[in-house]
Amino acid sequence: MRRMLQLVRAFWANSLALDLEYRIDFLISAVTALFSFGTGLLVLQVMFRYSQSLGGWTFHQALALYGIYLLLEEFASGFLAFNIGSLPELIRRGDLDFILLKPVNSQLQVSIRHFRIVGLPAYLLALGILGYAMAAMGSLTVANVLLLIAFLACAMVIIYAIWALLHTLAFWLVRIENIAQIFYAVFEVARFPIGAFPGPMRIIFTVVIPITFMTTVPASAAAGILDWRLGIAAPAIALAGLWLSHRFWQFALRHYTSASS
Amino acid sequence: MIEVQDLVKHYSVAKREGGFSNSVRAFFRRERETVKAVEGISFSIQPGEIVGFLGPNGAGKTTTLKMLAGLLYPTAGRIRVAGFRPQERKRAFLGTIAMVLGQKQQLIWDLPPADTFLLNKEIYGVSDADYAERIAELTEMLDLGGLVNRQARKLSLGERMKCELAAALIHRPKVLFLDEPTIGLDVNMQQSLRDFIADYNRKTGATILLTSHYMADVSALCKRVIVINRGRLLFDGDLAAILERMAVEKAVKLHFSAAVDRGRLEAYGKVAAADGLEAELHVPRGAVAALAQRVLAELPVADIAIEDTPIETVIGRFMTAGPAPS
Amino acid sequence: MIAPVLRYCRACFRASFAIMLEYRATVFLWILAGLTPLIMMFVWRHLAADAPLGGRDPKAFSFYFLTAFLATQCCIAWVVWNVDYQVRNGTYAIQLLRPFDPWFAELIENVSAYVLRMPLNVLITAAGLLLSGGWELIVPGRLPAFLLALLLSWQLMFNTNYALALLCLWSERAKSADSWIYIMLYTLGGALFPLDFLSPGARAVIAWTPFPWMVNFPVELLAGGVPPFPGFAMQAAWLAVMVAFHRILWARGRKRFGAVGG
Repeated sequence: MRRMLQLVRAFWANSLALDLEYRIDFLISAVTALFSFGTGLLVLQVMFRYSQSLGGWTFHQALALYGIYLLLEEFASGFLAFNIGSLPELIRRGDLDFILLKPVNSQLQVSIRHFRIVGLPAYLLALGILGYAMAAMGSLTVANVLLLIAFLACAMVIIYAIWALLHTLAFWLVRIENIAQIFYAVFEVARFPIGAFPGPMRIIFTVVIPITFMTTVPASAAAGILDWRLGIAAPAIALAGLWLSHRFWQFALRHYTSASS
Repeated sequence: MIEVQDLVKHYSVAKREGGFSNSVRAFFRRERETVKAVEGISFSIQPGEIVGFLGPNGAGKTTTLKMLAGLLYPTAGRIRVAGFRPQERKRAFLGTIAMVLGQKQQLIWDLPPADTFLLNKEIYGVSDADYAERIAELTEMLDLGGLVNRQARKLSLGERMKCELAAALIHRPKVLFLDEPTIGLDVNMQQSLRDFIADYNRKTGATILLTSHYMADVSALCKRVIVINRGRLLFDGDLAAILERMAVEKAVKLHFSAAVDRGRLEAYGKVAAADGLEAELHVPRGAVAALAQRVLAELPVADIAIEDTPIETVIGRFMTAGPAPS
Repeated sequence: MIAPVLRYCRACFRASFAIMLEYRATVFLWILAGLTPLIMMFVWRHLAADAPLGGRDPKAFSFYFLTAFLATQCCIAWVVWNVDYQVRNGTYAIQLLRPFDPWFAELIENVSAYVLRMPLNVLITAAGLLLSGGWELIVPGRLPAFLLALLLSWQLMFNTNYALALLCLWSERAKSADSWIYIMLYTLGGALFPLDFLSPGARAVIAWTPFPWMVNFPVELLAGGVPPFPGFAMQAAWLAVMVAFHRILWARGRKRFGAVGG
C-alpha cells in the first residue's frame, strides 16, 4: 500500500508539472463546468415549474443528484479519459510497450498515470452544489456524508470498471478512441433519479447497466432516503466490476500484437 | 541466460485490398489473414554475451525480442529468460530485464529526462543510494552532463537516445534487449553509443541481445550473430565464420595517375569497375597483401584503398544462398 | 472551372466514404452520443403520464423530441477535431498547398458520414413516431419546408464548426469552444425541453442566437406551429455570418501559415 502511494505520487508529480505549464486550461475548465452546470440547472427548473416532483424526488434532492452527476462527469472526462481512456492511443503508438516492460501491474499503470489538476474548478463546483443541496434539505449530517462518500467510491469504481472493459477491447480493435461515447450516451440517464423513467427502463438501468448505482444511490444516501437493498448491492457490484475488468485485461494481454513487428 | 526452443508466433490481421468496391465489401465481411511472424526458432545465450540479431525487415527480429521481453504472448514454444517464463510477466522478471526501442521513446516529451528517471526509480523501487550512484555512473559513461535537465523535446535525436538508454538502465538490468538502438543517428553518435554498450557489458556483465540495421554496430559489438529470415533461423554462430564463408573477397579501389585499360587489369583479378583513371578489383582475402604490392609496383597508382565487402552484402548473399549447415 | 471541382469532390467522396466504412463503428457512436433528446423524451413523457404538462401529452412530447433528435443529428460535424489533429501532427500545411479550399474536402467527409448515419437516424425517428403515435402531429404539407429547414440547420452548424476549426490554427484551445457550442445547441436549441416552456423574456433573448433556429424551428415547423418565413430568414442570415467569418479566417490563415510552411 505504501509503495502504491509512492507510485501515485511519482506519476502525479509529473502530470502536475505538465498541467502547470498550461494555466489557461484552468479557466477553460471552469467555463465548461459553469456551462454544463447552467444548462442542467435550467432543465431542472423548467421541469419543476411544471411538475411537483421528478420521479418522487424534490427539487433539492434532484439538485444533489445533479451535483453528483457533475462530479462523476468530471471524474470520467477529466480522469478516466486521460488514463484508461488513452489506452487505444497507447496501443496504436506502441507506447504500451514501455508500460508492459515495467514491473508494476500494467492495468494499474495505465489507470492512474495522470491526475489533471485543471479539473479542480469542476470538482469544486460539483461539491458546492452537492453541499448546498444537502444543507437546503437539512440532511447534512456526519452519517449521511460518510454514506455519501462510501457510495460515491462505489460509483467511481463501477464507472471505472465500465471504462476499463470498454477500452480493453482496443487490444483487438485498434481504432476505438470514441468508444467512451457509449458510456457518455448511457450516462446521460444518470442526470435524473432513476424513478423519473418508466418501469422497464428502471429495471434495465439497475440490473443490466448499473446506472442506478452511479447517481441515484449516492444521492439518496446524501438525502437520507437510501433503499438499503440497493445500498448492499452497490459495493458488491463495484467489486465484481473491478474483478471482471482485471480478468479481461489479463486475457487481453495475451492478444497484444504491439505496434510494429 | 536465455533459452529459446521452437518458438512460434502467429497473429491474425484484417485484410483489405485498396479500392472503393473492396472497402464496401469489407463493410459487410472482413477477411482475416494469419501472419506467421516467427516459425519455430531455437537458440540459447550465455550470461554476459552480446549477440547480434540479424535479418531483413519483417524477418521476425522485433517480434522475437518482444516475446523474450514478455510483451507478446508466444503462440507455441518454450522461452526462459534469467530463469523466468517471460509470458508470465512476473514482477521479478520485469525487474531483471530492460528493452530499448530505437523507434519509440519512453521519455516524457514535455518534461526533462530527469523526471522520467525519477519515475522509473519509483517504478522499479530503486533505493536513493543506488539511484544516486547509478545516475552518476551513467552520466559519466554516456556524457549526459546538462542534458537531463532540458525538456526531452528540445534534445537532439542522439541526445534523446542516450537518455533513453539511461532511463532503461536505472534498475541495472541483467538482460538487455536493444532494438535498433542507433537508428537515425550520425556516425559519431553511433560510435559513442556502441562504446557505451560494450563498456556497460564489461562493467555489469549484462547479457545483451541487439538488432541493428548498421552492420558496424554488429561487427563492433558482437562476436556471435543469429540470422533469421521469414521467421526461421538461418545461422547461429561466430560473426567471423559468416565472413569467412561468405565474404571471401575484399575490394581494392585504385586511382591512377594515367589511364590504364581494362584488359591490363584483368591479369590481377576480378575487375568490378574500370574507367581509365579509376578501377575496383575484387580479390580473395588472403591474396590482398601480395596483390597490393604488385599493383603498386607495376601500375601508375596515385591512391589505393582496401575495403571489406559490407556485411549487408554478405548477409544478403547469405539469404539468397539459403541455410547452410552450421 | 466547375468540372475539376466536381472531379475533386468525387475523388474526395470515394476516399472519405472508404474511411467512414473502415471506421463505421465511430460513425454509429455519434448516433449514440446524440441520444440525449430521446432520454429527455422518456423523462418528459413520464412526467406527463397522468396529466398533460404545459399543454403537451406524452404523444406530443414524443413527436417533439424525436424530431428534435433528427435535427440535432443533422448538426453533427467534426471539422474542429480533424483540423486540430492535423495541426498538431503538422500535416495541415498540406491542405494549404492544395489548389482547392479544404472546405470541400471537409464538407464531403461530412456528407459521407451522413450517407452512413442518416438511414439509421430516419429509421429510429420513424419507428418512434409510429409507435408513440407522434406522427399524428405532423402537418404533411409542411414536410418539404421541414426538409429544407434541416438542410439549412446542417449547413449552419457545419459552417460554424468550420469557422471554429480555423480558429484552431491560432490556438488549439479554440477546440474547447466546440463542446460549449454543442451544449448550447442542445439547451438553447430546445433538445432538452420544449423552448416554449421558457418564459417569454428568455425566449426573446435566445431567439437572437442561432441555436433555436437549428432545432426548435424545424420541429415547430413540421407541427405547423410557426410560419416558415422568419425562421428561414434567421437560418440564412446566420449561415451568411458563419461563412463570412470562416472566409476571413481562411484568408488570414493562408497568408500567415503559407509563409511559414513555404
